[in-house]
Amino acid sequence: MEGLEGLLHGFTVAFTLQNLLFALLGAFVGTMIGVLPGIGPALTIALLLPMTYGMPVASAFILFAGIYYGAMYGGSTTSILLKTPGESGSIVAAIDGNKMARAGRGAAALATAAIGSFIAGTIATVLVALFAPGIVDIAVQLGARDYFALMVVAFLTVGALVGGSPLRGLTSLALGLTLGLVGIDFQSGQDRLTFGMPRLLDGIDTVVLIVALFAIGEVLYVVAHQTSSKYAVESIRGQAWMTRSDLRRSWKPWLRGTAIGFPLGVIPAGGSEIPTFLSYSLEKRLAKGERKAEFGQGAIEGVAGPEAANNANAAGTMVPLLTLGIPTSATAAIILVAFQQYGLQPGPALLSTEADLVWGLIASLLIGNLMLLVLNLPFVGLWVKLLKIPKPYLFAGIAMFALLGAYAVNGSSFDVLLLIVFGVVGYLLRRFGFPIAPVVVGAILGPLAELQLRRALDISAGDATTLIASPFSIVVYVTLAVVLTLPALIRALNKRKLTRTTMLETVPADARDAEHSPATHKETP
Amino acid sequence: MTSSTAPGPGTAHAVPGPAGRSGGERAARRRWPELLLALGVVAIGVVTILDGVSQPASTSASGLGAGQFPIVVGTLTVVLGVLLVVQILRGRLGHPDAAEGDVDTTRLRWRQLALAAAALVLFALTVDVLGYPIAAALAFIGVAVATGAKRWLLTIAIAVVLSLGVFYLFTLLLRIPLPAGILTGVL
Repeated sequence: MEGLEGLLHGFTVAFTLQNLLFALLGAFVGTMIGVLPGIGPALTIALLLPMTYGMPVASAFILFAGIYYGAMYGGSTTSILLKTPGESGSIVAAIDGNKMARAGRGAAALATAAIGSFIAGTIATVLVALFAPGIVDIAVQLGARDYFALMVVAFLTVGALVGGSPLRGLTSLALGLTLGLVGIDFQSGQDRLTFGMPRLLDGIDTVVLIVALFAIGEVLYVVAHQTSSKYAVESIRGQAWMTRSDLRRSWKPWLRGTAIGFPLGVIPAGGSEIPTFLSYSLEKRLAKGERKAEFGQGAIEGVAGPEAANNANAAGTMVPLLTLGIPTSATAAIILVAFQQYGLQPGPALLSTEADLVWGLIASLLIGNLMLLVLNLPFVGLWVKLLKIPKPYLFAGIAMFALLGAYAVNGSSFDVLLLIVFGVVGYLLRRFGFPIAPVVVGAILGPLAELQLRRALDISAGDATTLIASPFSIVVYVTLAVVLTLPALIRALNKRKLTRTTMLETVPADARDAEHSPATHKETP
Repeated sequence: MTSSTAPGPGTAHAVPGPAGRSGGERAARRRWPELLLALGVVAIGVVTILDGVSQPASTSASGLGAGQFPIVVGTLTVVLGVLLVVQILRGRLGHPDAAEGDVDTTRLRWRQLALAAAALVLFALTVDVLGYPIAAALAFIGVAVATGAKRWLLTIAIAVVLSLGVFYLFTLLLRIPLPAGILTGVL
């Protein structure tokens, strides 16, 4: 089935009263949970997973579609009015968005974020529908070694590019891979890393792991280090929505953000941090005259571009997830888990065996996106009220739902203990600057990568050169090598030409640390 | 997290601490928890390698059994852990998560942290005996107090309403069973 045809088919699946209601419910609940401070889209879906255990599979996925985009919208509201992004993709937009809110232009910032998200989400989702069948055509011809190559790319880019430090990102990834090993080996039936505990033979439940790392880790982090048990929410009461000039300044960043975000989601390029950051610096560079000075002080372009890039990126990650079964972000990893719960393995076969499901999901993303625009622009005041929930009750509620989620998976209190253990791990990772997403991707993708590796080596009777013997895998590894060495190469070239002003923006985080720490000591009285 | 994009919380560790301590001493004091964590990473890697080595030899065509992949992953973990130790000893510490609002990682509120953790563990230990509503309400109260809830009656009221609401939502509406525990027959 080709893209547009499939999409039309998807609409016939999604346009039943029941499924439209599920999409609306998902958009509503997703926004409601996503707007709560500190809760990003990945955690929103993980927390709401238990709700769907009794549902038919199609309805559950339509619900997820709404929740996914809803959580993205909700997240931008929080980052603008509260400067608590809750996920790395919203950090950039939070800078100028929050400055606008403080200057009494919060409503305009929310509007440009919402409309930008809608436009980016719509364009990118249509592109997903157009691209997916073509990629599936290629994907069905790929062998085990090609899949292994793609997974290596996903590992390295997610590990090395998410967060400020490649070493810390890769460490997170290694921990995730280790967690993925726990349980019975699929081929030989041997148990690995179970330490004699029969409960661990089935492996660590991924829902438990995700809820632990994101929710419990978050709760413990806030409990241990909060400076105030209250939030300072900026008001938007009585403010005008976008003016004509706002609109004129916003539409180009929306489209440029989409153009940056989508391709970086399709190729496994490691999270939404990079596209949002790229979009921000592009808008800053393109700004003229005094508008350039507005960046960092509340430039509407600095909200419009990154928010569009973030949403287009999120939609883009659906392409490798649905066509290859490779998740490249924490959110995509959780959607993969949701598929696995229903005994479905995303990959090239899914589009033909479960056409209704996949196209229904894509169509629901579009419908949910429209519903969200309707829900968000007029009702944003309602969502803002949610931010007034006192912080103690909010985090106690998050902890309670996390405990419920872990318990409801198997009805076992052993899972709750695992939840707490990994919650402490999540706290430590946050506290010491290790990104969480690579842990999740490693734990979920690790077993799949091992499967493909051993399959490939079984076919070649143990000859490891088979891994780099297919044309596709050669192309993949060469591209990977170029991508990973390019930043260092550019840096080396730039250094020779001596610094230009643009350099400041591209200096790696590590280098800045080096400049940073001596200054810290000087400040001490 | 890139500190460049979030100038506020990302650089929280750079805020001057209590007066009277020299910079070097403060840095050394703060270095050891992270060093322990890095050594923990090395230990996890070693355990994984040992587990892989102890697996029986493979009978498959590739010669790859249950052990090889863990050995690879374990070796990777050890190498990264050692690199981390080196980096930390050189004074390059991690930036705490910048995605959250007002947090100050230079101060650890360990009493509150212990209370919250205890509330969670209590839930795990009592949910099967006391039942979901009571265990969940206790956990809610514990975490709320740890996060700074002051009004006891209100906190207890919210905990009871919320845990009963979730219990009925799951057991009646979503048809997912939750234990009623000692309240079996009452609810």
